[in-house]
Amino acid sequence: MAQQLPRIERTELAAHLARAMALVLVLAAASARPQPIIILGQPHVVQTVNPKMGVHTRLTDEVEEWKIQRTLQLVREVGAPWVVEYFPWGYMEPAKGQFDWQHADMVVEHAVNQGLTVIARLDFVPEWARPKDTTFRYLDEEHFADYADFVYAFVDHFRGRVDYFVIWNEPNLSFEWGYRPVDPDGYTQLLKLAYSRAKEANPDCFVLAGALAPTIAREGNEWGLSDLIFLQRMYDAGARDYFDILAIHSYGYVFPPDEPPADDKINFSRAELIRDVMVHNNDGDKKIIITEGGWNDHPRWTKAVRPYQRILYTIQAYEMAKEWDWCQALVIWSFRTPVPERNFRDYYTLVTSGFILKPIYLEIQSYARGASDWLAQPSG
Amino acid sequence: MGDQNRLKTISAVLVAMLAILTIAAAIWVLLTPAQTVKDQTWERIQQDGVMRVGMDASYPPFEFFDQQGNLVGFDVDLAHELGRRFGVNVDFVIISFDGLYDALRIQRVDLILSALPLDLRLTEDVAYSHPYFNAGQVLVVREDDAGVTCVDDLAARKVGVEWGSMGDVEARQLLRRMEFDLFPYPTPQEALAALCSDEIDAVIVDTVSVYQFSKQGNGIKIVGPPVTDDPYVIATLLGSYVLQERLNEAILEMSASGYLDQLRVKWF
Repeated sequence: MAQQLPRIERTELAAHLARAMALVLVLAAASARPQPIIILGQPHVVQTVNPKMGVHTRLTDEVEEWKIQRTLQLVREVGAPWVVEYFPWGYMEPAKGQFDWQHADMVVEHAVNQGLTVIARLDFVPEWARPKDTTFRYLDEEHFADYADFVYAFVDHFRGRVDYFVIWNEPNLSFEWGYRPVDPDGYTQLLKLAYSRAKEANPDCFVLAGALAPTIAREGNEWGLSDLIFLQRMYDAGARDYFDILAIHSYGYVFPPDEPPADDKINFSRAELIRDVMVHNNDGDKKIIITEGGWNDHPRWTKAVRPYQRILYTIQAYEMAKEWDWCQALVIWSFRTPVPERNFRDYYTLVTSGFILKPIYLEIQSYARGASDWLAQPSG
Repeated sequence: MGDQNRLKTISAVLVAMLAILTIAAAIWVLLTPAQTVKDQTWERIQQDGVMRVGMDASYPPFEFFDQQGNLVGFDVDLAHELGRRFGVNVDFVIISFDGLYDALRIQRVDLILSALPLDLRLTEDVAYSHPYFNAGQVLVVREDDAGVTCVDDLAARKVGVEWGSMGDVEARQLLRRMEFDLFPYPTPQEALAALCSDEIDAVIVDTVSVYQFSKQGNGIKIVGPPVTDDPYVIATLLGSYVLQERLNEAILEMSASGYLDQLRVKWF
């Protein structure tokens, strides 16, 4: 006959069991897969009166996902459907054929969820694809195929999410060509390879050539070559059939956007001269996307304007882009940086690193929401 | 009993030895001459009799070339005064603003003195001096207005800003917690002129603009603590211990003696 435990012992045993169960539950909860803190949410659509508006988001070095999401939410809310984002080859292919898409996937998922069209800038040479003691802008002919392979992998991976790809950045500047003399023939050769591989991965994608930097440097200048001359030399080298859209950079510096263009002047409307070169080469059916541009309102930089001028000029430029039928989008530099740079570049942004909206953000937002008084001069 | 006595003796000997060692160590520490901190930058400055100052001479009134082509400005005077106090000449190395830190890193210059804002991100790379100027945003009212002493008093007032400026950013932030009428102007000067002509009650604007405007004796005053801080500092290499100490001593002394105020009056 089983002996019954005394009442007090039964109570203690029950308490022990209860504690053990609680511990098991806590351990089970702790070992469970954590729920994501950031939720993608319902897909959004950008509301804007000007579908050509864009901003350069520069999320490459933004680590925290909520900041990536917040940035792209603010881009949608300002009314800009286009974003250019930098996807460094060296970050994503640390060794030949080994890809890490984690960060790029995160950025693209949030951008697409916000209803934004992503233009992917692809460059930054990994160490394995360049000689020792060269910069990440240095790509020799021997490694052109490696770059084209990366373009193939990127286009393939993001098929259905990203359709626009910029092949290199400012190849008409020596700095961007690895501190070597610029080489329109060499760049065109790279473009041809990258174009073919991109189309192989996704025949419906758009390959953007350039993006050419605005400069008036003449032949033989050690720092670069005029964008107009460089483009002509690209055509001479047979580039016409190897890009769908031309990417250019168009900064206004101290000039208003409607300042007439000239060969020897760098201003926003210089884009019209680039367009002339395209027409001259029977390539006028193609569009241009301005993948960088805008004004700066740093108080000390000699190429800056006053803050109110920056607001007016930027909105005027968006209006001009809307009127230019050959311009598909105007993407201004830049939306926000992960940390303040503490120099004149901070005065290009629309939002501070701490997500404080600058007045220019709010004014552009008003314009994109249809405000008609954005050209009204302030008090005084 | 015998064992206990032996233990007591051993303990006493150990305590005595420990005490002797402690005293010996203390004497050794006291008698060892203090190691002098080595600062190659300071040694070189003293040896050559020249202090090389990195500067971007494009920011009046802090540093710029006058119509005769002379390098002048608040920072230029400050550098000369530092040189005088250190007993050395000053050699200005003119470099674009973006290149200043690199010039310091490769020891092309001994220090950067160029309306340089404090950058907390770089404090593992360079050392910063005490601030010698605060270029942040401030609240400005008419001299005869005793009703506004800080931003908390702006409720129901008319507040002017330079449209799109950091003062505008701050004013819009304040509007989230109080109500006032915000008046944007194209330039800081126009906002301050509107204050003088009673169109508005206060202006949030940067210090440099206020100093430049009030030089003409316009009957305005800065009130309350700065709305934002933007301290200008001098940068040196991390290892320039002596130079840093001398700079900090000099800045504190120049602040206490009113020399920095004299420079402000001279250049604004």
